[in-house]
Amino acid sequence: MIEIKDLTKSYGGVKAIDRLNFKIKKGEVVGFLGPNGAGKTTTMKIITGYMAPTSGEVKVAGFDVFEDPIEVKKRIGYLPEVPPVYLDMIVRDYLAYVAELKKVDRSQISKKVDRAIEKTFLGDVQKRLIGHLSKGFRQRVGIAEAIVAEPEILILDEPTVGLDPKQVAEIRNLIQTLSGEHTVILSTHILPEVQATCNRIIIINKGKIVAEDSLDQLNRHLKGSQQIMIRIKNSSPQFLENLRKIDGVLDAKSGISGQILIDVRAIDSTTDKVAQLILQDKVGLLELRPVEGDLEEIFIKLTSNTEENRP
Amino acid sequence: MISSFIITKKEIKTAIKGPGFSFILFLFTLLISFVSYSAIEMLKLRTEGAALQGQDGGVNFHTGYVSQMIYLMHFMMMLFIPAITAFSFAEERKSRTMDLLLTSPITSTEIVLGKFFAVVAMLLGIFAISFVYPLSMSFAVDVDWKLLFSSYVGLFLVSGVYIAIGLFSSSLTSSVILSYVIAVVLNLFCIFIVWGTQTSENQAVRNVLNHVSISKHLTDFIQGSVHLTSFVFLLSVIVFFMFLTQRVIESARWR
Repeated sequence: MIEIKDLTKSYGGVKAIDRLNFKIKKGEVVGFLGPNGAGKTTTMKIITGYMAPTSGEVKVAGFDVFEDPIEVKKRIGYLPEVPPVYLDMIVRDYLAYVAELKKVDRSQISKKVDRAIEKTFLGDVQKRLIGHLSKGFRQRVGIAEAIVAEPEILILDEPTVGLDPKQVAEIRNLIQTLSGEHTVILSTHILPEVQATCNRIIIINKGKIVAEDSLDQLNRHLKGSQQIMIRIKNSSPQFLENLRKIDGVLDAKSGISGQILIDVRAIDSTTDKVAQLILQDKVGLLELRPVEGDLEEIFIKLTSNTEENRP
Repeated sequence: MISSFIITKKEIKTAIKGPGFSFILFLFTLLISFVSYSAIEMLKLRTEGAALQGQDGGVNFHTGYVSQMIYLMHFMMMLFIPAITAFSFAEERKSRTMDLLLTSPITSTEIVLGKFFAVVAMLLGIFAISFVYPLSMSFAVDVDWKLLFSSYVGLFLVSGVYIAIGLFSSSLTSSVILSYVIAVVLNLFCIFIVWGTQTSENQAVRNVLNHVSISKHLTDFIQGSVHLTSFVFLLSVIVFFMFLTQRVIESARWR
């Protein structure tokens, strides 16, 4: 659906993005991660045809962004960092205007506006001036603007900024319902959001892709090991020693209040053995669970690693 | 082209609903009513004076009233049009709605044309109000409709130049006030160029300055001497500034 080849953009000698390469398949939800100034927004703007790159190629649905910008723009719904709303317009009129701009068939406009309003829960404010709405509502109007024409591709630049936790959850659900029929690119700093919604993650730092994979895979690659956490009543050095003897266990460390973190080669095959030992030694099991892949940790590791590698 | 009208329609709708354009119409009506009244009084005095000296029909309604009104409207257009056009792009930049236009399936030429037509439509609204005055006078005096028409055509074309200049200056900045100031200065320059024709000693320079002087062309239209060159000149100035505007809008992609 989206193909990016050797994309470079420099602002007066400073490279905002440097030879990016990636592909996004139809129906995928891709999380675009990176620290501030990594080049996320620049990349998104180039895909939407808003901005031209210094060099490289972008193809959307088979159309080159620079040769057929109109065809590409018809297929993309874009929510920029600041929602592009007219403060002196009524929510409903605004969405109808956007639908018209996006070349939605005249007879379909009112139906599609209704649908966008319903999906973003704007029903109560649809007759109000956008200027009179709170930041969260304006953000939702922005999301409605992106989806109103039912584009094949949605590009959302930090869609949940300024929303309250309930709205964040609603928008996450919305993005999940959109996956499958739409291809979604989502940029954010909020890592749980990516964890909750994306099939694939692209982490970008200083204009370069530092990792690109599913969350599970990223986790595996980076750590080279997985962890099980147990909590027991009676911890002893002997028990730790026994744990370390199990085949597949790399290390075991005791933490506070009876917690023990066990590094294992593979969770699937080792958990059973650990459980057996716990019952055998009668240490009083309180809790046993695998430690979930922590995106935050991966993110920090990746984005600081490249910094050290640089001259 | 159809996409341009989507923008035009939206701009007009917003202008009608918002307070800004109504306020400009209010100011315009206020000023033109006052001036119309004074022009009639002046015309009356001069006609009486001519009658006392035994001249008959010495004062013409067209030169005495219509042309005064057109000159005044020209002056007002020079100041009012930038107040309308200043918002066209500067405001879109400031509120970041330019992002919406630039990521919509619409070309920058269509965007610029859409904005232009919207201001032209508002201008026609202003003209419609002003037309009430000569129209109501036509019941009392003989109006030379041909001259009136050519005066309005001239004023319309000159206003078109101010619209194009205004759109251009609005595309340069995200500050509405700065955009207004740039546009007014450019408009003034267009008018004061005529002064050069009186001070320059070189005949060739004088001819060129005469030709590029906006007020000179307007005077021709008001006097009923309509030349093709005036049309060509004024239209090409409009196209020139629209082209510059389109380039500035397009350049956002390369920055």
